[in-house]
Amino acid sequence: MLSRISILAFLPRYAAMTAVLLQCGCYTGPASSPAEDASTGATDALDSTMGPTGATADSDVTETDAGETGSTGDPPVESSPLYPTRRLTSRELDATIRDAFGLDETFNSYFLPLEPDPPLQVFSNEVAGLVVGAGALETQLEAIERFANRIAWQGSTSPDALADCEELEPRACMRRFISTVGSRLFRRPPEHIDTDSFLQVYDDVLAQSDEDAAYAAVVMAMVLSPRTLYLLPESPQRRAWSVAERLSFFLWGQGPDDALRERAADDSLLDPEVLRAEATRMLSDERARANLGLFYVELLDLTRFEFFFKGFEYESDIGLSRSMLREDFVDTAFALYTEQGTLEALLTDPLTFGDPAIATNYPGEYPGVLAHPVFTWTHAGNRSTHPVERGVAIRERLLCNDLGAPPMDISAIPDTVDEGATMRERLAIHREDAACAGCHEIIDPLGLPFEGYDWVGRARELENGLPVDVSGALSGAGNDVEVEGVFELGLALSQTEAVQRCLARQTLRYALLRETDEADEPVLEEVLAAFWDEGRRLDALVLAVATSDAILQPPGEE
Amino acid sequence: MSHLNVSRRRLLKLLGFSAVAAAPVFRLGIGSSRAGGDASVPTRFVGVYHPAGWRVVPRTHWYYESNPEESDGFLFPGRVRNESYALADVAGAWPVASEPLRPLAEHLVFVEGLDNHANRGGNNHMMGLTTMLTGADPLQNYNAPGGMSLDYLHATTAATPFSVIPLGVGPAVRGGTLSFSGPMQPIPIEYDPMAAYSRYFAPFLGDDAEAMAELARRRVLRGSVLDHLGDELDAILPAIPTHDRPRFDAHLEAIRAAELRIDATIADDPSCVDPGMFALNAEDDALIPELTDAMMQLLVAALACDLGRSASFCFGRGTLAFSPTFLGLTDHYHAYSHYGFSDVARQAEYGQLLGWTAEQVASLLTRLDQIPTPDGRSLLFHSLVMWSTDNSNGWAHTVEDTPFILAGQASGGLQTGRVVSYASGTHHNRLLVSAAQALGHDVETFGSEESSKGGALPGLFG
Repeated sequence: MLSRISILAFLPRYAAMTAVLLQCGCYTGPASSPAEDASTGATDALDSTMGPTGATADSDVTETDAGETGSTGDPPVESSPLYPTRRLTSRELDATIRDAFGLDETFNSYFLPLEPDPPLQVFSNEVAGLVVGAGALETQLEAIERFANRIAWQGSTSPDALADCEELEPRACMRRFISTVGSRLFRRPPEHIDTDSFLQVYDDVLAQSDEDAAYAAVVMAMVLSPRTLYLLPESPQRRAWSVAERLSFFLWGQGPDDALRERAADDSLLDPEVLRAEATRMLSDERARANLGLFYVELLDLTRFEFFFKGFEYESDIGLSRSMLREDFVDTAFALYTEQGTLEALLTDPLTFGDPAIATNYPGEYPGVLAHPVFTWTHAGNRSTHPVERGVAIRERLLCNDLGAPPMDISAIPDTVDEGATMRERLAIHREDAACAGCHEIIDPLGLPFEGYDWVGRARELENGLPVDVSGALSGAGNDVEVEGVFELGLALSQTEAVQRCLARQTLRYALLRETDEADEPVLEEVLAAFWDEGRRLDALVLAVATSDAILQPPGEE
Repeated sequence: MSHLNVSRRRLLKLLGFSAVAAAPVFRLGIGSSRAGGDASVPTRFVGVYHPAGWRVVPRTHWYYESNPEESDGFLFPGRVRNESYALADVAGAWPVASEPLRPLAEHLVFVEGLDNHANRGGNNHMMGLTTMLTGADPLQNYNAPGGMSLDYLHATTAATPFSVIPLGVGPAVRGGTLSFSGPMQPIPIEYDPMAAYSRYFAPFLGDDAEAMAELARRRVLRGSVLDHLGDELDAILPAIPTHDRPRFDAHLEAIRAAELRIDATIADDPSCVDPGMFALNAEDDALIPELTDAMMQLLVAALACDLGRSASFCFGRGTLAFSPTFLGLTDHYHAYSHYGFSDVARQAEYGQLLGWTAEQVASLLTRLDQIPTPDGRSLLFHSLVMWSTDNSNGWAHTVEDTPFILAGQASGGLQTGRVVSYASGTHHNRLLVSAAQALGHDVETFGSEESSKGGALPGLFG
């Protein structure tokens, strides 16, 4: 009854493609001819990405025929980027509500207890995972009811929309409230708000209960409205509003502010120069910090860092918290945008820890975000490093390789071979097994340069009393090179075209809220051209996406 | 026009169009008891989870092979596959860590030999948590299973105030749950007893005028809001591209389910008593025993009061684990599964932690047994409790041979006091099919169709 079909019904066409890709990968073994695997009709994703020319690497991945899966009756690939209809993430909803009701960060989240949305595939904003199911709605009702009662209880004093309502009779006041707050919540001009239907809720509840309840019902109905919860298809009359909405959720993870709303109201945002100016303004605004920081948290598969407790001896005893490290990571990423940092800077610039608690506990050298403790802590075991996980993160997230899941019948990394063996020695043993070697020949050498960082990400020089060996290699990415340590690895990665393409693709994915496919190739090429022209500056990459058709969605297509 | 009329009209319309819905909504009338019990007492389902496996040593490891008589934590050594044993006959081999369950043997079935085959890829511990009651193939992320969990399916059998009551203890961070209302639809657990009380009990307790007025106000508010929301979604639907529709259909179904629960109330039953409030700091691992005790009381009371037909309890979630400092142990739950087998001291501590967990489960079962039902039985008799974990062996992340401990008689559908052992490679989806059928659901597969092949397990229920 709960079949594969019903699962795929929740996923747009691009996710069906992923489902196929996940079934293959390097574990099919070097001996098999991947493209001939007729049973899945899939191309071996990794092999096709590992060709000698990095330039064609990624396009091969996406040429897997999505139409062949056919389970959802998907339309043929469209000729333009498609921006899906999706629900806001909890984080976006929280920011949008706070903005609409004029609440600052001090407003107690007890009154707005939204459940976070973890990433589905790479990013949490990807459309496929954002469903309001029955369980979610039960939880959401509780949360928003609590919020609405709180707002109603505060009365007309706090939300600025009701500030001078004393002079108006309650119903007129409510009308103005709906129009003002609705415009912000729904990201629409006030004249496009169906004020009467929300007033009907007010009247209905007032007839059966009291004024506070009526007020709370209006707040609840507005917050839970699909016009708040979803990025809906644009109508021709509000195209500039839709552009404002897409831009704002891409850069800030919340609805447009007053300035952007003005550009939408007079349609000036449709002028490419104005769009560029707005995007530039927004990129350096503090509101971009969390969203662009989150991009790297999710890109590098670090969401579970906040869940990854490793025992209190590393935390409470030394006055260091994981949230402190996470904030530092976000600051590091955001600074690269505001200071016009490049991809090289991202992967090689020495980190300086602003917080003394971090600096004290993390002595040594940390070149680039991959050396940040958040990365090395997350991609590690409880008491050991994990070169495989570190290598997989780079393969999958920075090289856009799809490795697939390991086969079920392989054994774990041996742990009882020799108590004194180093991680490098233990990994060498598993590569002797042909079943493992196919993948691990290309994974492990990317993870081994991180052996200079232990399981909580501290720089180290010894393992089991022996000097650590940090040699490794980047291979199969069109830029084969041997490296010593994370600085050299970061430098090699930043100079690899496949990495540059992958970062552009991932940025586009973050804006489009979905995995990219072949229809997105023209936009991707434009974005890449701008990225390369600007010396691989990260802000230039984001600006190129922000002003591309991914955000503009020219009319004439879906 | 009153909002009620609008709502009814829309409901009828929805019923006509519900073929696309991925999730069944209400299946009133099923799920009541089977042979042996009073048909008026509905069967409850409780899922229980602890992190990171059962086994100190995996069956296939040299250590186990050279010590065949050694108990590996929870299992009965030396059994034959595809056999069923009376627990009384194997009492001499009772597994060490599950010793606290021994007094309840007559209420138990140890099911062995099952694979949580859906648990592969991603964060293995979190994925195992996600797949334990869904059996659905993963969509890469642990929070993204492809389907509904058994506890939620069972919760759709009645318009109780809530569906599943998902409770637990463990780190005060969000993420990880046993319960899903459908594909990619997690139902978060509540780990703070005060919050659980205020959510599940407070609105329904008290029969004074003020409490009644408050409840009436809540119903008016929700009725009106949900009605408006449904109308808005209906109006928007034509503009939604076809490939985005299923998510909107799920949203509409969710509204329908919520509307049907608006007027539900707490059971008028002498065994439904106010469990009281527990002011405990849910972030303090030292208080885990007190928090567990409080949550177990809330869980049992919620079932006795028929606030929902299903409940779940998680002792932490995968890698989101507490540190059992109350046992004098220094590492956290998940970490204990990751020490080598030769680390005898740590393995002993791990066994101690598993034993503590078994004590808590025993206490839950005892509490359920102490609640009488109108037919002269107990709430335990009218329950099906399913306890398991994310991996068979947490150290190696193996999912083969993951034990499931069943408790309660499912209103007479389950003959207890047994160990049942299945052939290697039997997927746990078939247990989910069997359990769903025993609870009155007409299903032939659960989660992955492929993994459900063979259907219900022979020799378990009925």
